Amino acid sequence: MPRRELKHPAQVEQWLVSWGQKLTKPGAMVLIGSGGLLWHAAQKGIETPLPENSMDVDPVTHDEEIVELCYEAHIGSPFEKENGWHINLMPDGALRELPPAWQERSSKQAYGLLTVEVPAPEDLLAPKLKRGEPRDLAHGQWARYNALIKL
Amino acid sequence: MTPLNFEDEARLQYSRILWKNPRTRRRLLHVWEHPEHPHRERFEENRELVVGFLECDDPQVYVDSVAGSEKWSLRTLTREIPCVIWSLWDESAGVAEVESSLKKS
Repeated sequence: MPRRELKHPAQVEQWLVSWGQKLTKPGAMVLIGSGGLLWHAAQKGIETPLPENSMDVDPVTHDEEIVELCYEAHIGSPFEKENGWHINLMPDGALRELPPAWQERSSKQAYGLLTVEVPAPEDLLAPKLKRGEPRDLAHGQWARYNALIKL
Repeated sequence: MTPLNFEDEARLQYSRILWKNPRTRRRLLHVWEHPEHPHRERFEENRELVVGFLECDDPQVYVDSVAGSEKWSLRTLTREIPCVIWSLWDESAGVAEVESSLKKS
């Protein structure tokens, strides 16, 4: 499989557009992690790729149809073979790692029947910066460079 | 009480969601009952307990209420929910569709 992984903002946007067309009833997900950062970049028309590629996106959902789509896009799935990255469903507990009142700062966008909520870049970065691993710090620098967060 | 790590919490949360829908429940059962699933026998041994866990309103209250609750915790019972073997999950899509068609006809 060619090494592609997830690094371009447009990849996240294309994925969400595609899934918005697949849903047969309204559904919602919260997108966290580097996938969320790429989503913010895509909204600003930023094309700068992530400095450290990601292998997955991390959604949280309570909708069965979305869960099933996510299961179809697991590691090693045809989805991953096609896109070079996979979906890693995260539990509600992952949202508790975000700063308090993150919902008040989040953005929402509809893709067909799919509503995506993405915490603000500062909130997405908070758990990463707390971990402080080189890859997380590189994502923080990328977000600053692209003016997703204040310097 | 030991809190669940993200992997366990995700297994519990998403298994419970998929279990609610009869079609996706059939897909889970196809995987968990499959002869090639390494935890099939263990699932059969604890099937009633696991099904109750998936269907209850409050997993922690359920764990506290089951017989032999000194043996079980939220974490240990969550780990009795069999993992999904992805090759079997992919296979289960066709099986669930065929079963749905047969029921409709």
